[in-house]
Amino acid sequence: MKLDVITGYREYLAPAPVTEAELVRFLSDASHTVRLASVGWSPRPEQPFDASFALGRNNSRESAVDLLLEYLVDSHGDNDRVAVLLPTEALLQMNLPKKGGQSGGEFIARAAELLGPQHVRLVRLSLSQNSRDVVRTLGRMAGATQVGPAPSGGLETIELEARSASGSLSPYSVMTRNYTQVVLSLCERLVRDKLTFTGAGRVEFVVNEMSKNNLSIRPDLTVDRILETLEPGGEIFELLSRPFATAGSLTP
Amino acid sequence: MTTLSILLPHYNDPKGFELSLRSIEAQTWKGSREIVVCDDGSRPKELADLERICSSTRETVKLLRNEKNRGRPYTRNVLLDAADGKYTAWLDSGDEWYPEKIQQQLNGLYRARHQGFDKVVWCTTNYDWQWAGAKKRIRKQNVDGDQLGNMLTGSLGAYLWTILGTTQSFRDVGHFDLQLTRLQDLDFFIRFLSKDGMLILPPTDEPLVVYHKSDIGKNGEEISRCFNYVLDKHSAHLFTRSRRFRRNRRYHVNMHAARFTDNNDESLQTAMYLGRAALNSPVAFVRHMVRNKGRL
Repeated sequence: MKLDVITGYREYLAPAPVTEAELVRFLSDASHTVRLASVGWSPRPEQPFDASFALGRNNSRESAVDLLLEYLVDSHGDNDRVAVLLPTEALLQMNLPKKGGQSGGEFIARAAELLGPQHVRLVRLSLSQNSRDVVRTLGRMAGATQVGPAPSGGLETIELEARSASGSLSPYSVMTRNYTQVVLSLCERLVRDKLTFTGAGRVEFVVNEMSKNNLSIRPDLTVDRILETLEPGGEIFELLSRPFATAGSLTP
Repeated sequence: MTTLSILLPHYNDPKGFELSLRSIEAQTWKGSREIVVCDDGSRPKELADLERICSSTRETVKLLRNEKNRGRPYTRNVLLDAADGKYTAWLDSGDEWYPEKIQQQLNGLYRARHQGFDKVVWCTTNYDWQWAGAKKRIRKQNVDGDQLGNMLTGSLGAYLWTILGTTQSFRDVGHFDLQLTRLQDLDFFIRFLSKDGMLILPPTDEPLVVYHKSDIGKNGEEISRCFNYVLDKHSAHLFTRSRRFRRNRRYHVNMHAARFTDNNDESLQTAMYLGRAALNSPVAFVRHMVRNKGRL
């Protein structure tokens, strides 16, 4: 069995919830040979495609990660390519062992040990060309925004106006402590509502001392960095054709 | 290593076998599997048909043969010895699995492990019961509380074709009792539960198997003998229960045998078993007859 671990469907496609049907369609469009693993014994039956429960604490003496991997091997043939979903990329490195669980990185490492590293790859969901354009424009405008104390709350705020096909203007506002999430959430909303960002709206990017600290924790999360990782073309549900990390690079 | 061995005894019923085989082919579960078939001394024509059907499928089929008819428990022992899979499931010629059967039961086994069950478990399932020419009726398996008691009262059916478990767990129970030409699976289940085994249900309540039931050609006396043999063999379990419970089990045996003889038009035998049942438990007998308007 070959395993794809797909991350980011919740992180990058939020706030619009992704339905099971969309995920299955997206995956079958991306590849006819990949089968999305539905984990029928998941303690969260409403989310049978979400494998992140295996990273948390469980009642068994057996490791939940080992159980999930054994289940996948038992459920599929030797030549099947199977995809499991981790909703956020952060799960790959999150320090869950302190809470009695395991990280996504350990999941990948264990899978590589069991199946062979050449049979495990890590992929992330990507954004469409339209969304890339929005990110690019936002990035350009954000680069010229005022940086100063926020009026309250210590959160970054981006506001913009987008024009619909009928010409009406819709204000958007997102508040979050994570710049990547701001930009990508906005992209998703634009795509979801079938709006085109004109670039003529108002963008304010206010950073106070607190959020500066947050940004400094992840200095790699620049717009350029985001753009680098995005691939062009396709629908919003688009699988990168190549892995952005190998199993080996995540082995602890 | 094969993940699943599907064990299928066969005797003079190639049509029934083909029906069962098609239901295996339609499974949504796509792991590696082998079908192990043991022909129990069928007539040459039926054996030839069986071989033709086995060669027509894309499934991996291992066909074994008893040189002469040795009976169901012997054949099941041959099958169990030949199983190579990590898991074992059973099916009888003429019965069918629904497409989700194996996947759902595998889900059940893993859910139990994730929840930390410290017992050996077999995953059973609700099933459809279909008399020849009649509509299907769903039979719910009662796995709550005293499973051995439920099995003896019939609210938990002891049918191998409902079960998925590890091959090792079946081997740990031992061989099927050769004395039991009928009901060898009831004895097998009781031994499993006596060894602290446990039956669980899969995550779905939907029936996953259909049992095509017919009493035609089955010997009521044989049923009665085997049922009483099982009760005597496991009398230690019966004696931990009330006198009424024990009396009702004997009543149940006689009513069961009466149904078989009645369906085979053996009036004298039917009257004898009904008489015995009435003596075992007059109240239950009258209640049954009133509720079923005199039908068995």
